[in-house]
Amino acid sequence: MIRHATAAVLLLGLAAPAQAYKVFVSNERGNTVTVLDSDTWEVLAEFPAGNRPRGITVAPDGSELYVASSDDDMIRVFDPNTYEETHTLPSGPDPELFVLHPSGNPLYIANEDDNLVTVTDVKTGQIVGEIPVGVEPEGMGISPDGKTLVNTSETTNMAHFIDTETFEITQNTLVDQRPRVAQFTADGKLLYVSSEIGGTVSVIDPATGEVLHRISFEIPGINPS
Amino acid sequence: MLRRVAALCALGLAAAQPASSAEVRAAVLRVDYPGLLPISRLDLPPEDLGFAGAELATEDNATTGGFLGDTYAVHDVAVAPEEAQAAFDQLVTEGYGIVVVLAHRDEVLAFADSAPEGMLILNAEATDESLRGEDCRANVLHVAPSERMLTDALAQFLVWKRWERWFLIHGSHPEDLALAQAYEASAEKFGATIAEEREFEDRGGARVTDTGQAQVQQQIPLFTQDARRHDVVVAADASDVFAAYLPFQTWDARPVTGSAGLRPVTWHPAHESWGATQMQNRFEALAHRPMREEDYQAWLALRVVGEAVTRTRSADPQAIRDYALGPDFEVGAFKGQPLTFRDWNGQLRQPILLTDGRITVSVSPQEGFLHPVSTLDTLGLDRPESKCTAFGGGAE
Repeated sequence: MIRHATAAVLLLGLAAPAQAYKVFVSNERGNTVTVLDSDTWEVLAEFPAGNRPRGITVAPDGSELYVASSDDDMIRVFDPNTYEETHTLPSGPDPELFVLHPSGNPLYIANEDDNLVTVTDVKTGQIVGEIPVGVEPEGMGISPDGKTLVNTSETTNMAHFIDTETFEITQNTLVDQRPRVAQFTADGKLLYVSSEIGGTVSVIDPATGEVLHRISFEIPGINPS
Repeated sequence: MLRRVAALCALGLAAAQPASSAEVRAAVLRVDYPGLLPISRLDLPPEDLGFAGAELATEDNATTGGFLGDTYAVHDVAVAPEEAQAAFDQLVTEGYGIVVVLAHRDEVLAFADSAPEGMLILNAEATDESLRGEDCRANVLHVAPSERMLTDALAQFLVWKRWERWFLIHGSHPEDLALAQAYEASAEKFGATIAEEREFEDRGGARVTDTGQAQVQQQIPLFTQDARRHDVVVAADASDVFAAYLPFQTWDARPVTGSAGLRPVTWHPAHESWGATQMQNRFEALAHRPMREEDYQAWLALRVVGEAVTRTRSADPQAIRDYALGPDFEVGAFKGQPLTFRDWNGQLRQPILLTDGRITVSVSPQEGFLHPVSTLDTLGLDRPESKCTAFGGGAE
């Protein structure tokens, strides 16, 4: 995934149950969100989403769409049906990617320029925590039980494991250069972290922080660079 | 903001850390050579040139080090050339084992040859080919690209454009002639032709002040008149004497490249790809000015150190050097691929940006230039051509 790629989320069509999904795509350079139909892949709508929209996700009940407006230093909240902005949430400076707690609250936001993860309560609109992490925080993952938050830092090259009760870092795992996405398996037993420049995916045991395996994508006889 | 983060780090991280820790003290030694003012006042050197990049790297390293119990400190020294050796000796006396040097060839060599056993020097400025060849030193790693890496980077782009007939204009100083030779060698390597070659003699005198613009507008067309058919002008002006005057003033309507127009660089403040926007933001928040090549190269030198310390858990300069030259080392530096060292001469492999000063026009190596080991080794002299023997290898 290259830097200027878009982020996307899926939302089941609310108006017509058992029908197509809506796909919401944030356009970092276009300052909009594009809505696609997941069956026809037609563009249903495109609406303004502030300056440099990047991180994007939807509430578990489908009631709210969250978009990180990076250059506005805030999260914009939209109605997924009308595409109207309902309110904004504080995010700390330069929010990039974020992840929502499985319960739908709070939102954990990577502040890329300030080496922070900001925790925002989406109901009260208050910042409830700031967690110092490594240089250029990017990827955000959360365990299915909501107890462990993982942030990746692109210049520090670590996956930081954060206790969502205490907001303290419980362990740090060194991975390859420029880690981007952190994703738990559905059973929470493994964590995958992709490294953009290292060209690998680290498979990590969340219980110990140990790297169990590194998946590489080199093709024998083909020089990746 | 930074102070607050640092304080929070100390609180937040007590939970999880290994017992061993590294204490890294590095120095940055910048030699300020006397010279005329640059042709463009946009190029006036800021007082913290290079140092600001080193400071950012030290902050980056310290943030990472905070998670491991490692600490980083940097000490800046700026001196005139006649005091350079004394300043270096003083750093040795003060126990600095890692020194980033922003200086010319002669000073780099003198430092390397006077350094005690076990010291590591990182060259963040000098591009001379000889420092990577016959004059290479085992205690020097080159973060700055070599001249041939830069000229090959431009040559690949020009050949990709099929601009294969070059009008090479070089200055009259020894550094200009060396740069012209590098362009000649790059032309030969990639199949371009020097259709015309002229020397722009430095007669001293005024820059673009007072009647300067009028003079330039008269003189440059005359100087470039009646050149043999060419696709592009390549300027070799290491001394900043004339190249900036060439664009739009040449007799023939041809693009200018090299020391003006389209330039091969390691960094410029509009570079945004591969996460570079974040680097620009962080640097500008720290230094309150755009980031220059010297800043990037000093940053990169200390990030090489930080990366080696983080992975080896050692602050020993020799351990850092050996790891940097080894097969496991790589560092991300906003160039879209990991950077590694050539183990035969201590040169950092790196893509080179081509910029018009406003945007990144292209990045070399260009597609289609192949190499059995790394396409980055299509830039600069390759292992079989190397005259360096201090790294236990070399061709001869």
